[in-house]
Amino acid sequence: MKEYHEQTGPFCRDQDSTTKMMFHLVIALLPIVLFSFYKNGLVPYQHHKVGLYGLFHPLLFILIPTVVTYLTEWVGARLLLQKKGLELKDYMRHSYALIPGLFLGLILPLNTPIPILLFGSVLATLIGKLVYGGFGNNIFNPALIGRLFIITTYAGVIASQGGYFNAYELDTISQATPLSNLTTIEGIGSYETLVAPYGTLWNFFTGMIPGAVGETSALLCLFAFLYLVWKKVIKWKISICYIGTVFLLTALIGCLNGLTLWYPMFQILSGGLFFGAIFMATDPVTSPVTKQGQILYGIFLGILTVILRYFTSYPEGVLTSILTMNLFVFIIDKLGIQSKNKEKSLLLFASIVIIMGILVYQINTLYSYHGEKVDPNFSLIEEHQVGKKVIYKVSQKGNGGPILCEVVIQNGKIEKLEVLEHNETPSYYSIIEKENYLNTLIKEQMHLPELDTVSGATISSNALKKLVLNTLQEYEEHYGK
Amino acid sequence: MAGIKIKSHKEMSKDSFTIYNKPKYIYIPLMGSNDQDITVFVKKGDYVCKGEMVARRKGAFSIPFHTSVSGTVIGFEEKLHHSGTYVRCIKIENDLKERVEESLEIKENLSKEEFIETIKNAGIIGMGGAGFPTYIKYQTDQKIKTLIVNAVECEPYITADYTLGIQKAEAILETIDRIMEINEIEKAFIAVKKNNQQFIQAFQFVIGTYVNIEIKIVPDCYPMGWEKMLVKTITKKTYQKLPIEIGVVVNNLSTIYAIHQALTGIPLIERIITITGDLVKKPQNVQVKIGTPLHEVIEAISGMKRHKDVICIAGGPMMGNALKEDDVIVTADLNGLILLKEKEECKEHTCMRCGKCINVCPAGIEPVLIKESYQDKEQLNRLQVGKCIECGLCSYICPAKINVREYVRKAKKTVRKETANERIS
Repeated sequence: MKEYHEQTGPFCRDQDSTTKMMFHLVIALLPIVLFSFYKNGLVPYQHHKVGLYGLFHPLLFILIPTVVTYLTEWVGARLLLQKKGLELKDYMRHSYALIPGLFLGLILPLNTPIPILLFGSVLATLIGKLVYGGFGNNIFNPALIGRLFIITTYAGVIASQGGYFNAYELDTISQATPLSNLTTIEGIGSYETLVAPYGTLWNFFTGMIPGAVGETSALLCLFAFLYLVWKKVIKWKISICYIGTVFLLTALIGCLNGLTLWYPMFQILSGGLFFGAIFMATDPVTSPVTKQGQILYGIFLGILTVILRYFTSYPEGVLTSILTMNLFVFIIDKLGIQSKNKEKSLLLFASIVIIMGILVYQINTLYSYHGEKVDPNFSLIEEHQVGKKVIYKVSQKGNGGPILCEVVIQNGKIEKLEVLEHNETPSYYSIIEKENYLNTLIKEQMHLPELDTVSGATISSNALKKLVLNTLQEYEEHYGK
Repeated sequence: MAGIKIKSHKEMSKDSFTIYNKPKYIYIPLMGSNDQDITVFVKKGDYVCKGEMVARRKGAFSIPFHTSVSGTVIGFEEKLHHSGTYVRCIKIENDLKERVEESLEIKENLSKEEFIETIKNAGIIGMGGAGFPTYIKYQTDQKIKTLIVNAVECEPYITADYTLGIQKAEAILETIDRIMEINEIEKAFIAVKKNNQQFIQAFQFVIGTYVNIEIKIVPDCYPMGWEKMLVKTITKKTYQKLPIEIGVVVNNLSTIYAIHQALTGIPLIERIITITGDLVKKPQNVQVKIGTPLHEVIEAISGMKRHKDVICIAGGPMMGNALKEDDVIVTADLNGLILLKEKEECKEHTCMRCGKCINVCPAGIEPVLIKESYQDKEQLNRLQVGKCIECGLCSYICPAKINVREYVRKAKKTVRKETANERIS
């Protein structure tokens, strides 16, 4: 006997399912996981910096949170969600509990101790996801919640273990990570101080720079992006607008300070911006659904990231921006609906342009002020010319007071550097004398910004280095190069 | 405007055609576009000739109903209408004599008023699915500049217009030309999907002499046949409510052929309907008389395959309804009957806010947000829920298999109900 089923249509359905989309996401992440193994495991191993454990440490580092978030979700769902009448097996199949863990492993510094990693993974699922009622209901990106807990609570512990550097980078790179470097140097920076310590911009693009486990390679993120757009998995408008806004703003700032294209490129290629914009900002659950909302979300993320990078000493602006903007998704969707109205969208566009303008202006004044003003710790006491030689008597504040020096410059080159008077702690100063740092300063005068300070007498040697730099600047201003 | 390519399934029924014109009884449903305010002109025992008017819908959208056979009125019976409800029908026994009433002389040169009167009296309604009386489109003070003949047939499975076009290309072109002449229309387009090669060839073969008629190939996407989208694609212009605002009239291809018949004195009593689906042994297009119960037609084309769980869809699979039985009555606005195996009902999962429904929505609204607040009237008005055309793409695309359109329908009801309440109070 035939039975006719009265159903509501449509009777054709697309082949795509949430599970398939999540599968594509994992596929897109695989090359990034492998690259992280190569960069953080294989390379240090080949250079004999780590043993066999170190070789597989990156993979373990990604695997552990993945497993832990899954287990936490399973336990949590049993305890918290079953009351709602959910079938556990079915719930687990459609809650995609592996994904937050996978992401968490990729966005943390490699030197995060494993117990802390475990703790963070549990919190990511528990506080980031389950308390809201599981998959689809969370406000914040669970992986970012986990990271927030780890980074805020254990920043010191992680830093003491080597922070964002893998064993190989610890030995080869003397600077901090590119962006934390940006916050410590004065002014807007230069190619020599921002990019050169890590090689070329190509290294930034391929990902051979220090950073979190999986977020350094812009190239692989780009491939993943293309794949995910092709498979229609991600909200691509967010990624494009985010990266585009950061590029635009930093290009403007760079332009005003006489820096060329490398500067915005440096800005978008560092700090895991590509990874954040492509994987974290587009997390479907915690991002806007309206088309206009997605564009706005991307732009606001870009603005916020730039603000964080320039106005705070907190260099990893990307993930913080995303977590912050997660809060405003509801409002942004509302704005998105309203901006379908032409006048309102025009108004919105105008206000964004104004905000951007003010931001660029602010950053520019802030940084050029720092850049032009002579170091307050430096003072020029005497200057006289003898033939082609210029003899300076200058002082720079050191650890115990001003260090008085005589510097002789001829044709832009330092001929002589002599300390006339100083008040530094003798035990420290003796190290400088022992290392013959004064001679090093003269010898390396062309590469001073990158020159290492003397370990054990950092402040004193840094003061000497700055003294030389400031004197050279003084000379350049009056006599040219 | 968004729109996406959907697997067409059209190859099943594309190339076969039969005529079924010997129904034992026909049933004329006393319903037109959900309106049951209808005057009946016949009573039990009356003899009617083929093409005779048996009833007329009252009101502003007045339209007559004709019998498609000659024979005796048996009485009235409730029968399944393709909207899913049982409707009172006039039951007429077919005497198979095809006796025709002696008709008036057919006028060659019609004025615009005479033309409108003719198609009104022939009972012509939109045959693409909407069932809107066609004469109203021409009864306008505005100048009609462009006529668009909609042969897009964007619903999967359905090939009725395609079949008709191939068979009657010449008659259709001739009719378009006459309509243009009578209404002083400058330009006509026949819109067809790019992969309907045979159709395009059939028209190109005879189009030579009609310089103002152009075959317009449109992209193969759903819902390309939606009036607003079609007009936008062809003229690059948009309108608020009706295409006449920008001087455009859109007619379905079958409707044009019905006008052709009307101009030769035959009212709308026949149409081509696609009977297809994986449970139909020999899927094909059948020319049937209006009022024929479809169960009979399915048996006549060698029937259905054995299967326990059946979905019987009247119309296309995207916008059609699943019916309680396959014995539905052929009406002028029914273009297909699809019999499918019942798949395991897709289980709905949690919405992860991927926004795909928003991306595909051809009306440019936000189905997911409407779903989230389908009882909040204020929010719904802000979301312009009334713009929804119920094309079903939001449900089609949803990766969590949520039937989003049902929520939007509920939302539309919420808005309508509350507005009605306000009016009363």
